[in-house]
Amino acid sequence: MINPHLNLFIESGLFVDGNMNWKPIMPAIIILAPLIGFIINGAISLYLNRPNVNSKGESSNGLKRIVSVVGPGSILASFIVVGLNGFRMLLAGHPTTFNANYWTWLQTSDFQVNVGIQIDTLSIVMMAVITGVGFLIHLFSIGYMESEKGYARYFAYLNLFVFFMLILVMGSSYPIMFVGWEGVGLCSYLLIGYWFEDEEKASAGKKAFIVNRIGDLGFLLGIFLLHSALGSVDYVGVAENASGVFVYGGGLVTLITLFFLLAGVGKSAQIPLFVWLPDAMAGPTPVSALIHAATMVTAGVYLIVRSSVLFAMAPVTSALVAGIGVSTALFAATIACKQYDIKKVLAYSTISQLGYMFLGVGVGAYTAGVFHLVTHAFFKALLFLGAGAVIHSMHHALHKVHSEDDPQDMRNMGGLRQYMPITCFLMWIATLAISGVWPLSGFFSKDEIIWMTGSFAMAESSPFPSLYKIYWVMAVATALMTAYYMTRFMVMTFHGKNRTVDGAGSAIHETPKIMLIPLIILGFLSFFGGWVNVTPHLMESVIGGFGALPMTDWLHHWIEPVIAESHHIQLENIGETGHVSPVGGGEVFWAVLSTCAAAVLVIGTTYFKSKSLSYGVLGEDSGTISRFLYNKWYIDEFYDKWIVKPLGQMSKFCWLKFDQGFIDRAVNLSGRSAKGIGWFGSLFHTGQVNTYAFFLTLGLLAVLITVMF
Amino acid sequence: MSFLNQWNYFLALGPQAILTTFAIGILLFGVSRNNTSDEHQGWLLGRISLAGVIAAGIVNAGLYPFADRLSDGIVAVDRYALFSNWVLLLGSAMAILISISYVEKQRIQVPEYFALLLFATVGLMLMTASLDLMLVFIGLEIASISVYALATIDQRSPKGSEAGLKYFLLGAFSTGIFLYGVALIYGSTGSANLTEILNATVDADDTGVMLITGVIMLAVGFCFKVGVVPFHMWTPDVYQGSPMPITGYMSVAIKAGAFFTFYRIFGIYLDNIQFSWGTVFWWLALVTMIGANLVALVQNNIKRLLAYSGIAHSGYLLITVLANNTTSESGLLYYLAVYTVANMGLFAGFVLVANHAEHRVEVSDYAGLGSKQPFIAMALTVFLLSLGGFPATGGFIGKILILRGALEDNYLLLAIALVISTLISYWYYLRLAWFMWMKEQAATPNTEKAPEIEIPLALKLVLAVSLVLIVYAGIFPSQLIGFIETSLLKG
Amino acid sequence: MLPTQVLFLSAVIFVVGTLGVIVRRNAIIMFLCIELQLNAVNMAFVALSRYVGIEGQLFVFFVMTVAAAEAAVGLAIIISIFRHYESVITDDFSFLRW
Repeated sequence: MINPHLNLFIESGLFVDGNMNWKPIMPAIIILAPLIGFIINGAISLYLNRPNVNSKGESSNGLKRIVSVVGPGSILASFIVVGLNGFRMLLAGHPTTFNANYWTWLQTSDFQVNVGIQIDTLSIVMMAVITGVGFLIHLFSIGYMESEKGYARYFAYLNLFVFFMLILVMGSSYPIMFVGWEGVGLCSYLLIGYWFEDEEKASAGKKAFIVNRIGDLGFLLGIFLLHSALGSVDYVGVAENASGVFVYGGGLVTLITLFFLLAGVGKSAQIPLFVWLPDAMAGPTPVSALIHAATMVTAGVYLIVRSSVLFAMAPVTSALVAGIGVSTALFAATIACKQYDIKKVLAYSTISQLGYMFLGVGVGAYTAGVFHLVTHAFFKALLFLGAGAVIHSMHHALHKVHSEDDPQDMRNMGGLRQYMPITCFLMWIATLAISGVWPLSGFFSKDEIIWMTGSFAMAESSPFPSLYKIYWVMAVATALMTAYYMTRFMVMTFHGKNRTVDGAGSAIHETPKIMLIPLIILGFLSFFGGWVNVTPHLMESVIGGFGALPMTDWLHHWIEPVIAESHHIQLENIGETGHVSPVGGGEVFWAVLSTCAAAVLVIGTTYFKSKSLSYGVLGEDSGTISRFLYNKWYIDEFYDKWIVKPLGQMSKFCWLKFDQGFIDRAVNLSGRSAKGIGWFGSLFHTGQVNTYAFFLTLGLLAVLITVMF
Repeated sequence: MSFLNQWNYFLALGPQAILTTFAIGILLFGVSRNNTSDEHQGWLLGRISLAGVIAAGIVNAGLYPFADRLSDGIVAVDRYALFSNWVLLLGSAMAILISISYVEKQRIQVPEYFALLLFATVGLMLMTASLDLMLVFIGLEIASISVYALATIDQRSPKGSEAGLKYFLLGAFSTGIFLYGVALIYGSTGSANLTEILNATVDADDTGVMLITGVIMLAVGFCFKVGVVPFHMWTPDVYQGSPMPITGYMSVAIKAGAFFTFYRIFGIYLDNIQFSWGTVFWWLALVTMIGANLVALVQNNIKRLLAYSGIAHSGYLLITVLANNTTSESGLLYYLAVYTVANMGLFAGFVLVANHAEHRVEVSDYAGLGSKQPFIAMALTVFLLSLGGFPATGGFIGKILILRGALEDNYLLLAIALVISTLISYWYYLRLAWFMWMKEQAATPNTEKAPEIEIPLALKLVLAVSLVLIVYAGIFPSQLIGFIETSLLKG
Repeated sequence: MLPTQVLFLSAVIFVVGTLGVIVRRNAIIMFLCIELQLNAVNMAFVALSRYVGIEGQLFVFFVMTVAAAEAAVGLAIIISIFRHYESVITDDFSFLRW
C-alpha cells in the first residue's frame, strides 16, 4: 500500500515541457531541509543538556557554531530551492498545479488521504515568504539568542516550526494541512514557553495551545463534513466537485465554511479567540516576529484563500469573515493605542492587520488578502525584529547598570535614535509602510483591501450592501488609527528625551551586524514589496506616467489560477467588483487616504515629540494638558481633546473591560470552572468502597430506568 | 473443520494453552527453588514468562490458516480474536518487561507474580475468543481474580492491600450484576450462546423486559471493567495503590480485553436490539468523555491521572460500540493497539522515574526530567501527545477513525463531544509534559537525594519499541489499517 | 414452588445482597453479601432451566467454582489488609481517594 517514494528526488526533470506542464525541482528538499536541521539541532541540544557535558565549555562552543550554521542554513537551502522553483514557474508563464503523492496515509472503506504536496502559484508565494522571512529571522536569532541557555534547543524548535509551516502550505489536502496546523501550534507552544523559568510565560504557551485547539475542533469537523459532502478532501477534488454539489448560499457549504472560519479565527487570533496572541509575546522576540506576526497567524487567511471556492459560495460566512476581520482590526487598533509594552503594541497591531486580511478575504478579494499577508510579513517582521534589537540593547544596558527596569516598557525608552540610528531609520520605513503611506508596500496592500470592501458594497447584487458600507467606514477608521498608534510607538521609543535610568542610555548601542543585515533586507522589502501588485486604477491616476510598469496587478494574475473558480462564482452571483466605491472615483480616494495617514503621522510625531519632551513620563498623557497649553501648538490641544483622549478612553475600555475584563476572564474562567467541576467530581471518589458500590448501583438503576421508560 | 474432534479445541485454544503451561511451569519452578533471596530470580522468571508470551505469539500466528474455519463452537478462531490476542500479548509482554527490574527492587520476585500475569492474559484471551456468555464469564473471572491478587502482591504495602480489597469487593460485586444479566439473557433467549442469542433476537419486536434487563446488567458488568462513568469509581483508587507495572497492565490489557469482548457481544451479537441499549450507551459515552477529562484536570498523582485518562478513553471507545460500522470497528482495534503501546510506554517511564518503587508519583516529581533524561522525556511526551491525539502519532489516526465512524452513523453530537473532551485532555497531558520540559527540579533536600536514574535494558526496549511503533502508526498507518480491515467481524 | 416464584425470590436475595454491600462496613460481611448475590444468580439459573433446558443447572457449577476461587483470593486479601490495619472495617482504610 505504501508507494515506494524513491522517485522523491527523481521526479524533478529540469525542464518545462512543451505543454507548459511545469514540474518543480526537488520539492521534497524544501520540506526535508528544515526537518534535517531540526534533527541535527535537536540532537545537539539533547547532547548538551546532559548534566556531565555542561562543564566542557569548549566542545559546547564548537557545537554552538554548528547550530548557528545548521539552523539558518537549512532554511536557506529550502529558500534557495523555493526561489529556484519560483523562478522557473515565472518562466513557465502559466504553470499548472503540481501534485505529488508520496504514500497513502489513511485509508478506510471510503475515506482516503494521501500524503502529498501541491505546489501552485499560491503555495509558492507562501513558501517564499515562510522560507525567506524565516531565514532572515533565523539569522537575526543568532545574534539575539547568543547568550541564551538552550541555544540549540531554540533553533531546533524554530526549524521544526518552519518544517510544519511548510507542510501546512504545501500539503495537497486538508488533513495534511491539519497536520501542519497542529504542528505549528505545538512549536508555538514550545517557543512561547521557551524561557521556562518563568511560570507565567510557560502558562502563556499553554493558553495559546489550548485556545488554538478550539479552532482545530472547527477544522476537524469541517474536514469531515467536507468529506461526507464531496467525497474528497484534497484541494483538487474539492475544487472539482464543489460547484456541482453545493448551491450558492446553501446550508451545508455555509456550515462547512463556518467550521473553517472557527479554525481560522483561532489560529489567526481574531475576535473572540485573540486572547492568546498578546500573551504569546512572552516568547523570544524573533519568535514573535516569525510565528506570531509573519507566518503562523496568517495560516487562517491561507485556509480561507485555499477554500475560496467554498467561501465564495457562502455569502453569509463571507460576511461574517469580513465582519469579524474588520471588528478585530478596529478593536485591536484601539487597544494598541494605549499599550506601553513595546511588544504588546506590535501584538495588537498584528491582530489588527490580520483583521484586515480577514476583511479582504471576506469581501472576496482573495488576492488582496494574500497581498497584505505578504507585505505584512515584511514590515511586521521588521518591526518585531527592530523591537527585538531595541529590547536586546536595552536589556544589556539596563543589565550593565543593574537596573530592575523593564527593558520592554516604552516609558523607559525615548530618544533611542541617537544610539541606534539605523534601526530607527528602518523602523520608520516599516511604520510608514504599515500606516499605508504611498509608495511603501503597506499602502498598496491595505488600501486595496479597503477599496475592495467599498466596491463590494457597491456591487450589482451585493448580499448585504449597507453592512459592507459600515465595514468600509470601520476599515478607514482603523487605517487612520494605525497611523496614530504607530507614530506613538515610534516617538516614544526613538524620539524625545531619553528616559532610561541614569547611565544606561549611553550603554545602548546599535545591534551587531548579524542582526542588522536582516533588518536592512526587510526594510528594503517593506519599501518596495508592494510594487508587485499595483492596481491599474492607481497606475492611471495617481502615478500617471508610470502606468506601463510591468508589475501592474502582477500578484493578482499570478494567484488568479488558484482562485479563478471563486471569482467565477462571485461574478455570477454578486457581479463585478473592484470598480466603484462609496466615495466615487477610486483615484482620489487612494490619494486622500494615503495623505490622511501621512498627516496623522506628521501631526502625531510633532505632538508626541513635544509631549515627551515636556513630561518625562508619558504614562499620564491625558488630563493635565491644559497647564502646558499656552506655549504649545494649538493643534496639540485639538489632537489631545479630539483624538488622544477619546482614543485613550476607548482603548482603555476595550483593553481593560473587554479584552482583559471579559474575554480574557472568560477564557480563564472556563479553565477555572472546568477545574472546579473536576474538583467537584473528584469529591465523589471518597475512597469508601460502600460509596462506590452505592454509585454503581445508582448508575445501574438509572440506566435501567432510562431503558424501561 | 469442526469441534466434533476434541483435538480442535486444543488447536483453537492454542495460545491460551501455551501460556497456561508456562504459567504452571513457573509456579512449579518457584516451588522447586524455594530460594527467594536470589537477586536475579526476577530476571530469570521474567525471561521464562516472556518466552511463554513469544511462544503463544508464534502459535497465534500459526492459527491464521485455521481462522474462520473453526466457527461452530463456543470458541471463535476468527481473525478478530487473533488480532485481539496480538494486542493482549503485546500488552503483557511489555508489562513483563517493565516488571522485571521492579520486582527485583521491591523484593516481590515471587513466581506467583509472573504466573498470575500470564494467567490473567490467558483469561482475557479466552474471553475475547469466546462465543458463549458463560465462557466470557469464566475468562473474565480468570483475569479478574489474577489481577485482584496481583494488586495485593506486595505484602508490605498497605496501599496495595487497600487497592486489592477495593478492586476485589467491587469487582466481585460487578460480577454478580454481570452474572445476573447472563442469567436473564439465558432465561429469555433460551441459551447463553451468542449465535443463538443473535438468532433469538432477530425478531426484535417481541423483546421482553427480561431480555432488556439482562442486556443492561451485562453492559454494566462490562462498563465496570472498562471504567465507564459512573461505574468507574474503583479505577483511580486501584490504579494508585497497585504496583506500578500492574497498574500499567490493568490500564491496557484488562481494558483492551474487555473492550474486544464488549464489541463482539454488543456490536455484533446484540446489534439487533440496539434500540434497547443504544440511548444508554450514548449518554454513558458522553458523560464518560466529559466527566473523566474534567476530573483528570485536578489530579496530581500520575497514576490517578492516567486512571482518569483511561476512563476518558473508554468513553471514546464506547462510541465505536455504539456506531458499530466497519470504520468504527477498525477505529476500535486501531485505537486499542495504539493505546496499549502508548500507555505501556508511559508506565515504563513512570517506573523509571519512580525508580522502581512507589514514590515520586506526583506530577511535580517530573520537573526537570527533560534536562536530566531528555530521551525518556521525549518518549514520554510523544506518548502523551499520542494519548491526546496529536497528528503524526498513532493516537491521532485512532481518533480520526473513531470520529469518522461516529459521523458515518450520524452521531454528530458525540463526535463534537469527543473533540471537545480531547481539547480538555490536552490540558493535563501537556501539564505533565510541561513539568518535564519547562520546569526545573525544585531543590528540596528530598529530591536532591533522588538517585541518578539508571535505565535497565528491558525498560529501554519498551520505551524504544513503543516510541517507534507510535510514530510509525502515526505516519504510515495504512499497513496496520489494512491488516485490521482483514480482522474485522463486520467484513 | 413455581419457577416464577423462585425467580422472584432470587431477585429479592440479589437485592438484599446489593443492599448489604452498600450499607455494611465490614469487609467480610460485604463479601458474604456478594456471595449472596452469586447464589441468587444460581437460583435464577436453576429456575430458568425449568423453562429453557438443562444448561442452566450446568452453569451453576461454573459459578460455584468461580465463587470458590474468588473466596480464596478474597479472604487472602482481607487477611492481608487486617495485617496492615488490624481492622476489616472499610472506614479504616480509605486512604486512596479523591
